[in-house]
Amino acid sequence: MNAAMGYALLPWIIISSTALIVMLFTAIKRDHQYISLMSSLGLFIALIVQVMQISAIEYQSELVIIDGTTSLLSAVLIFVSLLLSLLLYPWLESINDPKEEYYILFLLATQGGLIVCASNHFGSFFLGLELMSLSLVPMVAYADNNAKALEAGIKYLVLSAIASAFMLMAIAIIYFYSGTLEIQKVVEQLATLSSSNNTLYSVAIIFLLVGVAFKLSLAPCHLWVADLFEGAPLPTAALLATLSKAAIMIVLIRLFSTGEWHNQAHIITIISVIAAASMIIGNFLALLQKNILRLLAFSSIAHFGYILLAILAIKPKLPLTHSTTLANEAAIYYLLAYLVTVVGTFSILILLSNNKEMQPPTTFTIEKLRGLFWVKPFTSIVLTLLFLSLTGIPLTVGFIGKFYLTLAAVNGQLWWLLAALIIGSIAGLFYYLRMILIMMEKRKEDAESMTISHPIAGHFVLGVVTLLVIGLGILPGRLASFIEGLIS
Amino acid sequence: MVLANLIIILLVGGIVAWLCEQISEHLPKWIAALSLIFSLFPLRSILFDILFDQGSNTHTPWIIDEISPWIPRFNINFHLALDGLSLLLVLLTLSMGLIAVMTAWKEIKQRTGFFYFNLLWSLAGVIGVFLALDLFLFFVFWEVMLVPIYLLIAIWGYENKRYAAMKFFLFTQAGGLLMLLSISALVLIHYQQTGILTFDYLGLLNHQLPEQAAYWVMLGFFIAFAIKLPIVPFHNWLPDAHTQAPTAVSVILAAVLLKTGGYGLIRFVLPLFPEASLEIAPYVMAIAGFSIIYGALMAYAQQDLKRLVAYSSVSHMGFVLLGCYAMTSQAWHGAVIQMLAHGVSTSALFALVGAIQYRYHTRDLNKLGGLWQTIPKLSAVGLFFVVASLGMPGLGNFVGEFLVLVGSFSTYPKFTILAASGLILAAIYSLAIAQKTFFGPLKLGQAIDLDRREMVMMMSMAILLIWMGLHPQPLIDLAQQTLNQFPQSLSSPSQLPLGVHQ
Repeated sequence: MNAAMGYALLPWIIISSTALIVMLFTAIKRDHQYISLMSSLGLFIALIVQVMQISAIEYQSELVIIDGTTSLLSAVLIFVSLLLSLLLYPWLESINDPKEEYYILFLLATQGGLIVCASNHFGSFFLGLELMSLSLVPMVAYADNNAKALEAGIKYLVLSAIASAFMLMAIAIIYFYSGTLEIQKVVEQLATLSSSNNTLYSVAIIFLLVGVAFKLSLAPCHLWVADLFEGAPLPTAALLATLSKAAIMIVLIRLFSTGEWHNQAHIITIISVIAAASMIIGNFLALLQKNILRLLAFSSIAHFGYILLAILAIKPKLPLTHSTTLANEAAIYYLLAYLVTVVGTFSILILLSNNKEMQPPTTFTIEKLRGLFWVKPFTSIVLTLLFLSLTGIPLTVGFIGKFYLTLAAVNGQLWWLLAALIIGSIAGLFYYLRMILIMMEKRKEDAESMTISHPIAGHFVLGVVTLLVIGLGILPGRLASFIEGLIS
Repeated sequence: MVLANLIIILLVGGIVAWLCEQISEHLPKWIAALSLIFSLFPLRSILFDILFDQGSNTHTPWIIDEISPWIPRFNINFHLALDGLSLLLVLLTLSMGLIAVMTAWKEIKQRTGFFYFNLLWSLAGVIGVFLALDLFLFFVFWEVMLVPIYLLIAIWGYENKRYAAMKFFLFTQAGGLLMLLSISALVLIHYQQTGILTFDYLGLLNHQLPEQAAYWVMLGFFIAFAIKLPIVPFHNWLPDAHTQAPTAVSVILAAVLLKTGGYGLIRFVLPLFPEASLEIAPYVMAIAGFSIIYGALMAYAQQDLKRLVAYSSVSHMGFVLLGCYAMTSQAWHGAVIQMLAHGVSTSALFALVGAIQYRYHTRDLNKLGGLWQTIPKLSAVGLFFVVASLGMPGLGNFVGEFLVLVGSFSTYPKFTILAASGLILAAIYSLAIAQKTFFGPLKLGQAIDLDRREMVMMMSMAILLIWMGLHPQPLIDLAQQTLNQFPQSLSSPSQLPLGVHQ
């Protein structure tokens, strides 16, 4: 291990050591407050190191690749974990189960996500994925022997094992064909293959896509996601919606970033169908949901369908601009916008639930938001902004993401998928507006009072999220130029 | 920074109004009125120029042109500019905004701060729409103005407000997304052909798209603007939104929001896509004629006074569409005048309906009647605006409709004849309003007549209409500045523009 490698992997080293230290401390003396502080501190230091590295470091080995894009996205993932870790304390303090283990799992899941995000090799990809998934399983079931949570945990365990099995099979066939597990080389080889006489290879790719679709809960493989979001404790659901999905999406973006897949017409067709189905099914399932967690789960299906649209727009020979960078930028910008907005939304839900409600089954209904605007105007305005950002209304970061997406898709001339995007967006607008409307309604007389648990950290998180959502929405110029610089 | 200040004053005014609610619930309305008056301040030198020194700035189409970089990645600029047409519409927005504040003066009693915040922010968005010359910026304003109006309808509206607000938002958003696609396609095709990535209106203006592409791109813009205008297959949101909205918001919707559709057609669709526009003109004229008659018939069938006025809007805005696509100067002048006159007269009618509802808590034509006996001032003013709406010569609406019909007859005589029959239908439904509300036996009790605030409001609108009807030439001159920039291919050269003295 030389110095350059050590420096490139410093954020990982910090997070892993934090996880180890937390574990050792837990073994010696359980002190919740102390451990909570330590986890957040570890993530904070890792975030600072990662941010400093963003445009300073380029490191590539057989297993990992750490370039500008990876560093930027890793920084955002660590940021997401940090925000969520700040909100964990009041909930964990209230449960009877041991509390400290949650932090260990939380840090390990973050670490797994970072490895997946930087993986340049199917080996490191799979290891990172399993580290993340297996840490998330107990986190899903982490609640006082609650039947619903256990059910969700088992569901996640079984389904993620099936997805992993599909992926392993795919990786094995790919290795059998190409003799390498390095992602870049596999993609290069794929470009030279003609699609007609490689049934087995195509099967491998399809298996890989099935696995990825399960993990990302894309359309035909989405059935588990709502039960899981509803059954898991809120912070775990937040991690599932952000970290676990984003990390895999980043690998997918990397796989497709050269655009050489467009030789494989049938694979592109399959992904197009998945994208269209996700956009439409996700939004329409969310349409009349009463439980916000289920609604967000279905909505996240649609959002990843949108990002697939950007990935499909990466074509080697574009009719309009002859460059693949725009679609890549679009995918990354949209992912960033999604992460910031969704982590903000979950933070507010966590802040608004009292400790008992954090326990699954999470019955956070839309009805609970009724009249929030007149009791907690600041929180409610932030939540409104976040919902508007998720629908892509201007002056929020979500709009810039959607603008990138439309531009990239028009550039790639994906007209049918754009039609699905419009239909999906209108449906999406309906349910987000419904929630905004309910917040503005009159409050019921007998409604219980709303309190913000954990006010200091809570308001800090809200402030940061608002600043990001509005700031990147009104002045996206710097970040846009920065991402362009990273990619080209 | 003159134009940016114009918008900033309204935005800041909105925030101040909201914050001042804590001090007194009467303070926000004063702040709203003051910030609307103050927003004229940045425009003072231009207004003086036009009032006292006509023709001094005709050499350039843009009276003010401000540009500063915004998103360098896509070469997007914060580009605001003012020409004759935008000036007219900005003045209409500010004055009708003031009227809206006055109609809300006593009607809105709950959460006044947030109400005036939304009102001012929606007006700021509309003014942004009228000033933006960067297509991305235009789209941002186009979408941003929806949110405050949505909240205004959804929170302060009448019985069926949630449904109406949702419908309004979904319809306009669907159009908005189509327009976003069109903007993207337009910009990318321009980039492909010239190597310049720009969202700037002036940069894209003199560029010819390939025929097939131009047609589809144009259609995206056209549908977005047709929904706003609204034109018959897309008009469905309007009666609900108008009926359920509080009076002040109905005024804003009628006076200003519908005009963004007409403005979009004149500013963007016609100059950017001249060939494609000529190609669809016959179909659009047919739709416009149908819209005029359908709107008038539906208006006559309504029992709800507010709904009746809303449908009459559909009919009147059909004339704007007719004027835009007749491709003659007179018709374009007529379309602009019609937009201004409709903005004033329909706002006045909505304000009247609001005043009646405030007094009697009903808008049902069958329950009203004989109001002249108890509130003669209101009834007299009402009769005046009803007559204005049916197109009485000497008032603004007549000039607009007349110019549209004269201009259209030379190019599309059949549709013009069809549309002219709409004038008769307008007389029928307008007189029905007068007959059923002001005359006949008094069915309801006594009420207080118009107070001084309402009188000032109504009189100023009446004076505006009379001025437009008797001396429309300054307005036509201002509009001509914009129309001068239209590509030659749009209008047939044989016709002399009406308002040009060179």
